[in-house]
Amino acid sequence: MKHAELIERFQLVLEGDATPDEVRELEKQLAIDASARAEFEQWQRLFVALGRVPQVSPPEGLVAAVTSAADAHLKISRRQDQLLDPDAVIGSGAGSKTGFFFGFPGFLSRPRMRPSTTQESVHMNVNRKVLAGGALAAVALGVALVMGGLPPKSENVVGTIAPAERYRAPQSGAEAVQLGQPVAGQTSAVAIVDKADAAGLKAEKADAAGLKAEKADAAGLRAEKADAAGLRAEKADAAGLRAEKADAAGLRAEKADAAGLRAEKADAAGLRAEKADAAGLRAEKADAAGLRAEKADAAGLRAEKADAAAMKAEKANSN
Amino acid sequence: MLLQRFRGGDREAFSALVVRYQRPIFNAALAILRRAEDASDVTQTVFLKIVERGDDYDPQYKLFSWLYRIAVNESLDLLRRGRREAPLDDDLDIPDADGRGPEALLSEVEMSTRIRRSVMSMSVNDRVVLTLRHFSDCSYEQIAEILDLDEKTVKSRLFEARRRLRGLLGDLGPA
Repeated sequence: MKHAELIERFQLVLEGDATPDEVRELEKQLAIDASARAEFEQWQRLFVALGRVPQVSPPEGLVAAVTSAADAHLKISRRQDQLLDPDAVIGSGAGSKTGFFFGFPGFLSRPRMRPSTTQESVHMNVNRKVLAGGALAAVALGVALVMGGLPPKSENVVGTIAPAERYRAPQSGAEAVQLGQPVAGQTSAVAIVDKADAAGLKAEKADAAGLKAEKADAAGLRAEKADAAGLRAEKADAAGLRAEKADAAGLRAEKADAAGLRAEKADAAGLRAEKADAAGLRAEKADAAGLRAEKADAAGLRAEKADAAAMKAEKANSN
Repeated sequence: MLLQRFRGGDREAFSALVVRYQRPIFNAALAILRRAEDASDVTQTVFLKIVERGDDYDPQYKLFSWLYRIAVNESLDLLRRGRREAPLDDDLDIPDADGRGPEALLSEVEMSTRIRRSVMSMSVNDRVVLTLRHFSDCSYEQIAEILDLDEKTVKSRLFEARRRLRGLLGDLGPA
C-alpha cells in the first residue's frame, strides 16, 4: 500500500468509515510494518486529541446583548410599519400590530414579519411616481424644443411694450346691497364662499399639522434608532470589557496553575535531592566508619605483630 | 420546537434558542474570522436573522444546520467585504478539562492549545471543515448541508485538511 493510501486508510478506520475488509487489510499491514504502526499510533493520538479540544466560550454578555438587540429590532420594525402602512395608523387595524416584546401578544404571528417588504413596496411606489412625472416633463420639454416654440426667436418678440391694464368688473352700487337676514332656507353666496374658505383653511391647517406629526414621527424614529444603536454599542463594549477581564483572569489562573505545577514539581525534585543528599551523607558516614574499622584492624594487626615479635624476643632471651 | 414556540409569541423560547446555540455558532464564526469580537457580532446577526426571517426556515433541514449555514455565510461575507483575516486571539477562554490530575490537565490543555493554534493557522476551507467535524461534531451530511457541498467533497476536504494538520503538529509523543 502506498503511503498516501495508507494515510487515507488510517483516517477511514479512525473515523469508523472503513469496511471490515479494509480494517483487516490495515491490521495485516501494521503487523508487518513497524514504521506504519508508529505512524498509525500518531494518527490515533491526533484523533483522540481532536475530540478533546474544548469549544471556546463566547463572551459573557452575549445572550443579554442578543435579546436586547432583538427587542430593539422588533420595536423599530413596529414603528416603521406604523409609519408606512396606512392601515396601521388609521382605523382599527392598528390594534392588531403589536408584539409580545412590548406586552401585546400577536405581533410575531402576523403574516408580515418582514417590515422591509412593506417599506420597500411603499418606496417603490413613490419612486415610480417620481420617475413617471420626470419622464413626462422631459417629453414635454423635448416637444417644445422640436416645435421651435422655445426659446422664442427675435422676430417673434418685436412690438411695443405698454403698461398692462388691470381688468375691472362692473361694481355694485350701494343700492344693490340690501341689509337684513336672508330668507329662511336660503343661504347667501358670500356665506357659502366664507364657509368654504374656512373649511379650506382648516384642511390646510390639518395638513400642516399632519405633516409636522409625520416629521416628528420620523425624527423620533431616527432618535430611537440612534438610541438603540448606542445602547447596542455600549452593551457590546461592556460585554467586550467583561470578556477581556474574564480572559485575563482565566489566563492568570492558567498561569498560576502552571506555576503551581512547576512549584510542585520543583518541590518533588528538591525532596528527591534532599533524600539523595541524606543517602549520600549516610554512605559517607559508613565509608568513614569502614575506614576507621580498617584502621583499627590495621592497628590491631600491627599490635598482634608487635606481640608476636615481643614473644619471640622473650623466647630468645630465655634461651 | 423552540423556533415554532418563538414564532408563536413565546419570548422565553427565543432566549432558550440563544442559550442553546450561541456556543457552537460563536465557534463556527470564530473558526472563519479568528477574532472573538467579530465572531460575537456574527453570532448576534444570526439570531437577529431568526427574528427577521423565521418564516424562511425550511423544516426539512435541522435547525442547527440552518443556523450554522447562516453563521458560515455571514462570516464569509464579512471576510469578502474586505476585512483582513485576523490573527488568532491570544487570550481565548479555553475551558479546563475537569476531573484530571494537574499534570494530565496541563498536558491536555497544552495539547488542545497546540491543536487549536495549528488549525487556526490553516486556510479558511481547512479550518471550517475541521471545526465543524471535530469541534462541533457535525456529520458529513450536516457539513455538506451547511457548506452546500456534496458529501464526497466534504470527505475529501477533511482528509486533506487532517493530513496538513498532522504535518503542522509534528510528533505528538507516545500514544
